[in-house]
Amino acid sequence: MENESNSKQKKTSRSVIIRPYRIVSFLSLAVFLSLIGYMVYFQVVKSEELLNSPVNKRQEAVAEEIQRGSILARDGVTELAATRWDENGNETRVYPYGSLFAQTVGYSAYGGSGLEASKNAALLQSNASIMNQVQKELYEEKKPGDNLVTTLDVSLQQAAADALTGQSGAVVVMDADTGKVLVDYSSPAYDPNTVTEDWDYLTQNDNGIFLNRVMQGLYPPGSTFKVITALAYLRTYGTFDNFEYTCEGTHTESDFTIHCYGYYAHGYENFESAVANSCNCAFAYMATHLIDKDVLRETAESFGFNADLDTDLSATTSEFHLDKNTPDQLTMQTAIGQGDTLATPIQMCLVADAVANGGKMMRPMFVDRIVSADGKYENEAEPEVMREVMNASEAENLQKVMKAVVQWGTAADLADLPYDIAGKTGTAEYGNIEDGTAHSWFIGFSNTGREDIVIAVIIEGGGNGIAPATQAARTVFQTWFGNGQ
Amino acid sequence: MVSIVIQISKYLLLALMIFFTLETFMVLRRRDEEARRRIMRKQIGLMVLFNIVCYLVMYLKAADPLMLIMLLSVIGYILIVQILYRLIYQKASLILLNTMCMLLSVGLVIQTRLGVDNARKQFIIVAASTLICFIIPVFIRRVRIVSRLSWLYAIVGIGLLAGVLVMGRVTYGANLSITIAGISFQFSEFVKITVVLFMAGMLQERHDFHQVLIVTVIAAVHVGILALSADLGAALVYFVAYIVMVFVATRNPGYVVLGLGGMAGASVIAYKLFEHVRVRVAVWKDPFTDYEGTGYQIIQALFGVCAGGWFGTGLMNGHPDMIPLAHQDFTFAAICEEFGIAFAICLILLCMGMYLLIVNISMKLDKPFYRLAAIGLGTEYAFQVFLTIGGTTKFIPMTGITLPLISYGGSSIMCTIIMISIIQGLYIMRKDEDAEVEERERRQRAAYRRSMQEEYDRQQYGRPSDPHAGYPRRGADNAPDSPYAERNGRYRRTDMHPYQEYDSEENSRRNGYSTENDRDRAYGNAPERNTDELGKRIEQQTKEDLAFRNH
Repeated sequence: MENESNSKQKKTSRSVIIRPYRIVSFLSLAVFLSLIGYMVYFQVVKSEELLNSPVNKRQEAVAEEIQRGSILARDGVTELAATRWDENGNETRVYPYGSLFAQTVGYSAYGGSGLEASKNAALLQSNASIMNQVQKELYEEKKPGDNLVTTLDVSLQQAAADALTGQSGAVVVMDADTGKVLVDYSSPAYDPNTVTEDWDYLTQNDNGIFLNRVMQGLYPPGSTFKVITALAYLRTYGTFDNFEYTCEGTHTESDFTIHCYGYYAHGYENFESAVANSCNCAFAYMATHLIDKDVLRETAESFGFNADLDTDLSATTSEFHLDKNTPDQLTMQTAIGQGDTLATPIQMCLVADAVANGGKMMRPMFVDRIVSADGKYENEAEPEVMREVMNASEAENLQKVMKAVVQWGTAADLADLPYDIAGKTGTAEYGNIEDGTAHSWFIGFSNTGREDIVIAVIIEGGGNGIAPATQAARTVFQTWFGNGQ
Repeated sequence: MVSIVIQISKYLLLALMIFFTLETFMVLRRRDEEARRRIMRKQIGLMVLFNIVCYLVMYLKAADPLMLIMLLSVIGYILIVQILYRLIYQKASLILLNTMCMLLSVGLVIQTRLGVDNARKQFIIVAASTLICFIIPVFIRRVRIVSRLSWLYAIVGIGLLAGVLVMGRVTYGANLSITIAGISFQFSEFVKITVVLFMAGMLQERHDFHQVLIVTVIAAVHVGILALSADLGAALVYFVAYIVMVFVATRNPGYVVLGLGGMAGASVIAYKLFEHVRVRVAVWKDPFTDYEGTGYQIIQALFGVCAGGWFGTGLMNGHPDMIPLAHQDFTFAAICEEFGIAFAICLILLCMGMYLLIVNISMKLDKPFYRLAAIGLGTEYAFQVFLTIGGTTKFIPMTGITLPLISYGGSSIMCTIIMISIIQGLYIMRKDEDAEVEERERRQRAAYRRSMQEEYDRQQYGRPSDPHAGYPRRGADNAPDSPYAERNGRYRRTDMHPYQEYDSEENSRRNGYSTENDRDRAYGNAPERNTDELGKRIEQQTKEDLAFRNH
């Protein structure tokens, strides 16, 4: 009996002794499993970015075994970049369209740029069938890398390039429903075929020739920003109907005066005419009296300002600053897209996309699908709604006022086109105000119900006289829809 | 053609690794001794096959006959170690041995791939260490005084660390190592063992606040010297072993909270104080800001980790030579590249299995000193694995520590083998202690029975029982023709004087009765299964009674 109770006592004390050991083994289990979880996360999420890193020399080693795949236009046939062999068996990368896709497709030398760099790993992997690969292996040939089918449209890109001839600027065109980028043109451009030969000259160029202005150029958005201010108003009041303002050509708040283009007095305006006339005074009044500053900032941020844009090509973040303590002077400027606001053309194109698309902003995409050399493997990219900026009725209200801009407002140059177009022009002052230097902007979209496009154009220093951005947009619309016949 | 072989081989190697890992965990769960032994035999087959495939592929690609020599050496090593353990230490944990052999195999393969010269050196160290370490289990059994030498461990440990720190200062920035016969010894590796033995010795009997305070001060001196010598990885490893040992000894989570709080404070101070700590943290946050300078190593390692994808590039097909220090700090990146992430995850699981095994063993040990020593050494191993792998994959900042049993490094591999041998020794002894406990209980029962017998005798014959009264009976019971004597091997030694048989402690080992079944029988957990069983027990009792009477 005594023996038994003794052993029982011993047993309980043993389980007490062992308990911390069990705790330690469970903790270690948690630590090791988190390490394994991280490994999985690393492989699934982070590895692609590392594989495509421009400093990853390992990919150059892979290139010795795999023939770099081609980059194709959206028809899946036209080559924008391809690997060719000369008689001596030397491999060269050729770009049949020369400077047309310079910044978008990029070049592969010197660590690469554009899609050549960001999709490097995809171009250097081979999903060709095993048989195909074994065959190449036996003949000791390089395995064929996968091809990249982009969303880019050659003729539309050409039209945009023609419209920008001799000027610095950028044109971006997207499919409104899907966010597929049809045109990403930046001027000036260079010829990627001779980038190694011209390297010294190009790197000394201070014109930003390597810069993809669509994705990375930061400009004051000017009056195109009024679309955002308009949505802030709409979010506050629910309708444009009760707005009225009498424009006298200037508007003064706290001893600071803002004026309309050419000091022109627009007279009595409702909301639609204020937008159509691009009336600075009306919007300055709106921002200082009718809209809460925080609401305006939140609206801008809901369009993607101050947030990183994650796409196939790297983009610069657009900036917007406004808070309760911002003085009236700066608030008025901010409301009309001046002040501290800076936007990329792709950002303003996305603003137009949200309006055109019933409030849904699509994620811009440059790669439609990755196809193996033998065509048997396909990895298609899915269009994705990036942000839900506004509801359908808000979008409809904005569409209506932007249509007025084209029908009888500042973009009336487009009024004769035989299909529905809506838009907003902008003249964005930059540098020293005294010089009167300004960029010319146009953002807009077609509304035909079929294959609609969204566009953003900026022409640097083109802000005086006729609005060249609107003319460039006209060329693009005409190329896309034909001349109206 | 060769590259097709390589492509096929990488899936084969992954499959072998997965099977091996699964079986390690199956053994952890299985209770049936025969099934366990079967699995462990199968594991040896998998290991041998793994090595054959690896070295053949490397031979095909590099056409270097040294590969074949390495193959033969490694297979020879595995087989000899397995056979020797089975001959000398039947009661060793064979699964621990298998896991160690597999990790060594992976290590030697990747070392061979990175440079045969280093691999050869590594192999010699592995073989020599294993051979020398064969005496450790015996040593632990015989020299029981090891648990009473705490202060000696502390003095030796601190002395070694401080000595090298001073020497390093004098010779300007030399690492914590000295080179003997071309092999560099890092004392922080050896001190890893002494510091655990010190703490185990201090905490084995008393673990009140006062005692914990002493341990803390001495441990802090160790950690402090290492921090001063910029060996942060080792300092962290010591520290975590300290936390775990204090926790399991005191069972008081308060110490853990205090300890972690102390570490957080120390980390902040270290961050403020030491430039190299700030650099490591900055590199961890974003290595690309200085990718040609401080971030270079980790970035190349990360490129290596992701280069192979899930299944790896295949052995000899990647570019681990682009990873700086691939054979030491960043071995894991090289493994990821050529064997793939899936294989690497198996490797992590295997290391985890190793630790769980060690914790399991330590739980079963009876003496607090051994228990603490086992978990302390195991924790150092596990945390070192975590620091290296986490550092290589940028899960945590890099601490500059090697992957035990796999990375190249003489003292690291030697000390890890010593640590494992110590744990084996403790495990073997625990099995012996089981036998002793059995013995003690049997004695108690026998004593009780004898007192009853005396009572009975007194009543029957009116005199105390004669201690020699039983003698004539013994001869008859233990006669060689007795059926029990034949069936049960442990009674074969009839030539021996009976009390000798139970008094010398090594007898239980020599006779080797330690399987679960035997223990069940001895404890009476499976009573009277059949008459044989019963007969055996009766015989045993009688024998013991006699032994006592003769005493």
